Amino acid sequence: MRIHKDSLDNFERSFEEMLRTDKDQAFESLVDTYGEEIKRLIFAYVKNWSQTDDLTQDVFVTVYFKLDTFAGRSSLKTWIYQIAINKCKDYLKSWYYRNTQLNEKFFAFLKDRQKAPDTQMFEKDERKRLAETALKLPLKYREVIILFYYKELSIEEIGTLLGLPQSTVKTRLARARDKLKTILTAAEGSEIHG
Amino acid sequence: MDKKLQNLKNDLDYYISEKPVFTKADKEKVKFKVRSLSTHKKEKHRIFIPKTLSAIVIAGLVLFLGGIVSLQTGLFDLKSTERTEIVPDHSQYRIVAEDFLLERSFTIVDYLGTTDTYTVTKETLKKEPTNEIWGLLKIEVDAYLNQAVTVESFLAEPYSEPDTPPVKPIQVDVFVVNNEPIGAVQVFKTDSATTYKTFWGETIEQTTTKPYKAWLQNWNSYIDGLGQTPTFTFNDNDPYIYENKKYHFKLHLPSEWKDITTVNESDNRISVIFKAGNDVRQEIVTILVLDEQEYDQLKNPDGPSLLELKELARMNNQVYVYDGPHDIALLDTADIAKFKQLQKAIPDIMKTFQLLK
Repeated sequence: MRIHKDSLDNFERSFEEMLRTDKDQAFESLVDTYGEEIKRLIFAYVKNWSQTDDLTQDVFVTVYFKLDTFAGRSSLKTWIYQIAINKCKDYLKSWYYRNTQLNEKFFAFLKDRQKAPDTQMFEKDERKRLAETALKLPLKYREVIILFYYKELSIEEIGTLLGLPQSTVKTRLARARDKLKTILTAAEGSEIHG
Repeated sequence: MDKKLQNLKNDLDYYISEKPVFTKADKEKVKFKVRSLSTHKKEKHRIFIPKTLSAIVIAGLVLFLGGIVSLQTGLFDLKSTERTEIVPDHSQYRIVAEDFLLERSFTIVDYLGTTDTYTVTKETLKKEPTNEIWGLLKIEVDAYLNQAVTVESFLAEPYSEPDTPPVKPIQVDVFVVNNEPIGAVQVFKTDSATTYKTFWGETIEQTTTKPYKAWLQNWNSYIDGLGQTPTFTFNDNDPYIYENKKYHFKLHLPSEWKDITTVNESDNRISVIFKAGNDVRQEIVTILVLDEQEYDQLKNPDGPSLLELKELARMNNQVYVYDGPHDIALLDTADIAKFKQLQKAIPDIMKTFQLLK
């Protein structure tokens, strides 16, 4: 939710103008502005490139057809994020997803990626391990980590997006951090002793 | 750990992909899908008008020639003219249905005829396979209750992307109400069964992300609720009361909301949230507690307000206001319909707002 026009970024200001004059042009510039970040957000949720492609397209198609109902009560970014998160959750809890999961390993998406030779070095990197571990967390912890640290949203914004009280967001963040710490420490220990 | 997490933005960006992931191809696919799903009214008229004009010109000629013949043969006797019943022109249904498919990049191979006509009622919408078909149309069906629908069937090839093998022709049924196409489904017939998909080729499970049984349950309750004025009971025997101790107020919520809503407190913002299926959430209404000064600024027509805030009460230099309805971010047709029903209770709920002294 937003209260002040001042809180709008430059894109949102120009978007509202564009939407009034040319919906298609406004939509195209919205896709240009949010395409990359929405696709990355979706991947962080579903961890599968082919599904990310489909869901990203679905999100923008949904946005297009809902643009006429968008009254600017929430910020454009919050609204698109909410649609994307709802799509991801719908998918992750779907019958279709559970069925396909039976046939896929948890991190099958790694196979989808064409690894460049220099990424071999990065695989041993601790930073890579942290990112990988964050994406392995159960959804309710993963999403607060993604939204807070990756998408740099405030606790309040996350609460609004997920329909959770701020206290719950804070608790989940603390637990997510604990879980990450436990997993990473255990992994380091097994590397030293293993 | 916190220091490491501060770098997570860069780490995750790098981990997900070093290169941009949203490509030109993605953008083109989005634009294509939007084009495929849009009803290009202008284009439709552009296609439709010449056909209409041709029909008018031909009809005019027939009438003119017929008039000459009847005058000469004495058949044009007003006294003996009987009033004829107006029969719906199904050829026009065919034209609008064809346009509907062409606009969605289908190639029409053959016209199979008008295969069904019925009145849309709650009963028909709950019968198989009509229930599944209307679920696949992905439209809010209340606008079509008690109206006649005509099904125009075609053999058509769906669009295939360049450099991909062409898709085999399939049966596509287009649904026409009041001479307007409202949607279409793909039909697959075998010796033992007929199955249906959305016109872009998804099953009911895929398009709603629910197993058939769960979808059916949701659908039936959605259909049952159609056309009914939503009733909300503020049950005094088992009240659903929300009380805010920080800002000293309480609200009486409808008993029916107990299992499907939750209240989220976020400092000075208290939101009632609809719990849709699959853990999807949507704000219904939000109460804000603002300083009087802040509120006056927002209320100023030249001020920065973007919200239509409605004042509830004032106490200790604070103003209690509410804002709603919110922009809908829900996806499922039945969820959206349910949400819209819940919104109707907002004025009654706000009448129960009470300050606690």
